Amino acid sequence: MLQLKDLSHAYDEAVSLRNVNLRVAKDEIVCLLGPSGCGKTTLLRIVAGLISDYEGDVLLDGRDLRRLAAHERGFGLMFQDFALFPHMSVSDNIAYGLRRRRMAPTDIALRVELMLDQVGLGAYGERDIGTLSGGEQQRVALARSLAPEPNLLMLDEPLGSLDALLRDKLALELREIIKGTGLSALYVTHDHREAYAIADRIAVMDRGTIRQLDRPFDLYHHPVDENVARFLGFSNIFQFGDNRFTRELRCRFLPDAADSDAFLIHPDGIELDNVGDPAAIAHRGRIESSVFRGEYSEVTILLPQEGLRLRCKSRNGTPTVGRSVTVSVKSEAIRRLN
Amino acid sequence: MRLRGSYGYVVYLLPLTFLALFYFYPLLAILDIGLRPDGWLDLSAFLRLLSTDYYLGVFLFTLYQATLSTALTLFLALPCAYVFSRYRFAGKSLLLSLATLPFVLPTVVVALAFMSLVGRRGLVNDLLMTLFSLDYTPVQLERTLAIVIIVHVFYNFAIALRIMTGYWSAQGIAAEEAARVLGADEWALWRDIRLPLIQPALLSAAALVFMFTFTSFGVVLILGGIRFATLEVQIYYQAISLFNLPMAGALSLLQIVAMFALMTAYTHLQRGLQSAIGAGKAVARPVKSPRERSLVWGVVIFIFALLFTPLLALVARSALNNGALDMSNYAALAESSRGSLLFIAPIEAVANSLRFALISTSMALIIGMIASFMIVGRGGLARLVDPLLMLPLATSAVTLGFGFIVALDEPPLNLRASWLIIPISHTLVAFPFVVRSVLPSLRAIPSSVREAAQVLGARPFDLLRTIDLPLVSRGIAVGATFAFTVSMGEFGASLFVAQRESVTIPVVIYRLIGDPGLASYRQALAMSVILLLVCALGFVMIERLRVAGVGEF
Repeated sequence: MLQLKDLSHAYDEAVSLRNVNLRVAKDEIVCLLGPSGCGKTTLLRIVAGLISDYEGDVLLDGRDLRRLAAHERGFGLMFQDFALFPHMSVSDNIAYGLRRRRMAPTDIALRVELMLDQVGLGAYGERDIGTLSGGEQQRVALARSLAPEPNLLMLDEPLGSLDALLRDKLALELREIIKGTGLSALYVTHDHREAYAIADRIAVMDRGTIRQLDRPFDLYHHPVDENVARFLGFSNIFQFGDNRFTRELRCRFLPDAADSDAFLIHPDGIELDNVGDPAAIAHRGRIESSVFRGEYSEVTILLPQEGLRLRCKSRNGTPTVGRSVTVSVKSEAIRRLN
Repeated sequence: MRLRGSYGYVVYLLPLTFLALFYFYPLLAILDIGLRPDGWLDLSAFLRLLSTDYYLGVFLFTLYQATLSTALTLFLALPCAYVFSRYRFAGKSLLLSLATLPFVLPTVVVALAFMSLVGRRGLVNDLLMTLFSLDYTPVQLERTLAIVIIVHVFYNFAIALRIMTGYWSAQGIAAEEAARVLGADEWALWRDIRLPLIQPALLSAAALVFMFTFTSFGVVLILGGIRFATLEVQIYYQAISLFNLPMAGALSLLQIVAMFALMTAYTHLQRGLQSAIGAGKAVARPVKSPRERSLVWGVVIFIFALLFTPLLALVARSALNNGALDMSNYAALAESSRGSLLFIAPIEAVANSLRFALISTSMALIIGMIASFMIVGRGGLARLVDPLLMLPLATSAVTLGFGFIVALDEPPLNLRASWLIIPISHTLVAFPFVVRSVLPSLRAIPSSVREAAQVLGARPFDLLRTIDLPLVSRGIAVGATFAFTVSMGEFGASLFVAQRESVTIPVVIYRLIGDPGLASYRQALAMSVILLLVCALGFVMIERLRVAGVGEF
């Protein structure tokens, strides 16, 4: 089990990590999610042993790793650009970590064979790295980091350089393969959808700290603060004192909240043209924009008197822009933010 | 980063010590002899340099001939670069790469090649005399400024051509098409689009060519003579012929200051060049109209005439006698007929040169590679070391040679009598070439590749063995070949430091040319062809090894 205790780091004055605490349990995949520059890659590099001037402790099963250099840790790390060795074949790439461990050549050959099968590249052993597609390179990189049976697998935006279609497909595969090996994994990404799909728990990072650590479901339904909510793509964020509509929501659902308290109206809790639900607050608005996205339509509703915009998803058709509409918001849709 | 721990720094001491002993110490010695020839500050040599019309004239002439050479080179290379960047034709890339052959050719060889083409005993004169039954030589170019300028164009044409072609190709044609659509005619295109766009490359090429021609030594010494002495030739003349060391020192100081100024200007211009290269798609298109075809043919013939006729004339002169193959010139190399001129048979100089080149290459490789690792390593040391290691490149060979004889001829470092002084001086000239060849491929290794290896269990030494060295092997081979050819052809420094028994091919050729006898001239021809072949072979190896992006030359 990996444990980070009060981890801090600065690059020439600029603080990149501030008192980070995190535990990654056995068999658990933890995603570090956050915008670029939030410190997630720094954290990964500290755990990998590539950065050594940090404060705090990195413990593996209670053992301090500070004095172990990167090459002595026995971790797996997958890079965003895959960092495959361009002068070696697929097999030699996968065998690299095994050779460094002075494994017997026959065992290496067997292990490489097994890894190739596991990532679905059975016949690719002798291929040149340069001849592989992006997806194939990703698999080789994964096989290479898994081959030496690391104690911990780290992945730094491993799908970042692939196109969107491939990304969705490989994200699932990746989770299955990692889960199949029973490894603990730290997975860095800036894409919340990817994190939802892969992680057991997600640590949302912002400016060097972990703002929220939760299971994907809980994170999606209960982001703790405005930054986290915005980073997860939510936009219906207001203060209770903003206008008549928000004050009405407070009176009805959260009477003890203050004017300056921020809150999120979760888009899943907004309904259109569902008049007559006594548990909801209904309000007249106008469709300001309406974008067809396939399974759903993304709708922005303007409440003209309040000058307030609400976003939600409509699953029954794409409403015409300009049409007036009734929005109803239920109690469950209101999430207080810190 | 790579050579971590205490070992790393010990290894790093090697190039630094080498530079301190064989670059800075000789430079200080020059400073010493120029400013305090008798042990106390005495600026008289300097004041004489600045107040005497003669020396001022030398300086101005150096500037003048460099300006003239640069202008003519650019004037000829500009239209050729235009054709190269705009048209696709068979053999284009081969020609572009062949055109850089002069870069590895020793000055003595080129000087003799031009002499055998347009010199007093040259092919052109022979031909004209036979054709028109003349009893005098109609072409009189030896010992003129014209031939010096022409040879400078020969040397620098390809550099200007490559810089401008590359830049123009990378720029793309979009701006030109936009201007055309907006109503620009051909004249306006040149004035408003093409020339302004090529300007950074033009300036950068100009600075480089100016720098090379400013320090030109062998060409001026052999083809121009003392009448057209540049600073370099004057340093040699003052130091060796007149033994006026304070004046040679003062001239060297002037030269060093001028070169550093030029180098700074060039680096500055080059930075602008790199940042300005945008994303343009290939603009070359096939030749269509007869006008375009004649344009391309004109350029191809011009390049052949400029670059290859002198070399062919040299080879023909060395092996043809009255139209028949005659290898007697080569056979004569084993004879040491004129004992007073040379102390060894010319052929022994070939053995000397090969031996020195092998030693210099090994030393240049070791020092150059350690230096490259130092430069890519992170931290303040690298930032400091990079320009420091490139200083020898900005110092002329003559200055280095002069520094060697004034610094290394007395304890604590007395190498004057040792043959080692030659490979050491060659190493100093050659190792920057190794650095410039290795550095780009070393820099091209993404840090993540190294880190991936580290995380997979590679110790620092494994990293060097399994990642760094295999990935830069081509660059190392290119650097080694460069070092070898540079050492084989090195003239300026060798002329200062070579002793009777340890003379190298270029020095022997120079001595042979200086001798009025026909036999010596023929021996010089044969020697030059041998050297030409060695360097051409090196050139072919470099070009074959050079993948896109290897080498900064």
